[in-house]
Amino acid sequence: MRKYYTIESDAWDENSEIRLGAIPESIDRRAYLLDEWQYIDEEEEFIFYEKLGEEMPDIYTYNLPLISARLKEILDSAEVDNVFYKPVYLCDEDDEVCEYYLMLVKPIDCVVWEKSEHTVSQFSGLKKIVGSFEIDDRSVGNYKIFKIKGILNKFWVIDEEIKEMIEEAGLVGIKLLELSEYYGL
Amino acid sequence: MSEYYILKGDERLANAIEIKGAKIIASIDYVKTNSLQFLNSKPVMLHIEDNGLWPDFIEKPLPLISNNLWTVFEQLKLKNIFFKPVCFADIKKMTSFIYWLIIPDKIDCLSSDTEFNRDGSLKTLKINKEKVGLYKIFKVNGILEDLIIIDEDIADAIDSNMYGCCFTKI
Repeated sequence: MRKYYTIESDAWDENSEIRLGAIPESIDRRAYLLDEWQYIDEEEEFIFYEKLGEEMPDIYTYNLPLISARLKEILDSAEVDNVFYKPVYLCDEDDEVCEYYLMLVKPIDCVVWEKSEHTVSQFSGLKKIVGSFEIDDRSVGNYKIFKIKGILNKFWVIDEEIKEMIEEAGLVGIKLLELSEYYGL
Repeated sequence: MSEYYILKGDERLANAIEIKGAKIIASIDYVKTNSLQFLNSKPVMLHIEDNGLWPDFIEKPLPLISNNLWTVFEQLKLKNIFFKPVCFADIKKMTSFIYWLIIPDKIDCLSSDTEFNRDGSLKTLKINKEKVGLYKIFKVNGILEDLIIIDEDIADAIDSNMYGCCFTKI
């Protein structure tokens, strides 16, 4: 049985906090909110940002799913191929440009809902994981990173290999939790 | 808006290549359901009998394209396709040909005007073009059939250069 971890922005890490400016209209929200990749292209985009901490985060999973070039390198070296990347350059008022990628990850239906703490939205009917949860390992196949299909949460799930590579590389601004430790904000 | 076509293999060439043991390439069920997490993109080799006929698209038992057609897809920078290289080799004749298993993304673009037969099979396929977005090749969610749909750019590229490919306008 493989071990899995959730990965998302660390809301408590003020050292790597940034604030993004307006998302360009050319980035269709349907692509990342509904996993409809047909609405997105690979053209480069520029987004203004404000640096609130000392360092730049290696992941940003709030209103837009972004990863740093360092995290992309790790995923590339692990031969992850079930993701889509769109280059996004973050520019601040000092014209400092940081290389990021909008990352879309293939969603799969793999949660054992009977053993998972979740709520169901009355409005959309979508589930939200709010506590510890379980994944059916047989549904994951070869994927080392994936998204859970049809949920409101914004985290991705990674396997142990990717988790260790991230920790060894010392990436910042990332909250990694075992599935049994997960808590939904 | 673009026109769309169902990509089909030429039935007259259905027996051109007899692929025994297609399971070695990939499970047909996983291909039909786009369960890519159970597939890998490592090359595989299959022994077959070289009949001298090598169509650019093989529809059954698995969707395979020739290396020529793969080159066209590469030039069109189609990113929403899972590819797996397959080498067909005839040991007696010392020949081999590279093909590619293709699995385009499946999307929710079925129009409510689509008509079905009583058994649930497709009678008339209609596509909601707005929901296709930027895709030039894709599969359609919500139908029993495992169809590959292409837009007119791909149809034009295939039409003039490729052998053994047919399309039906949607």
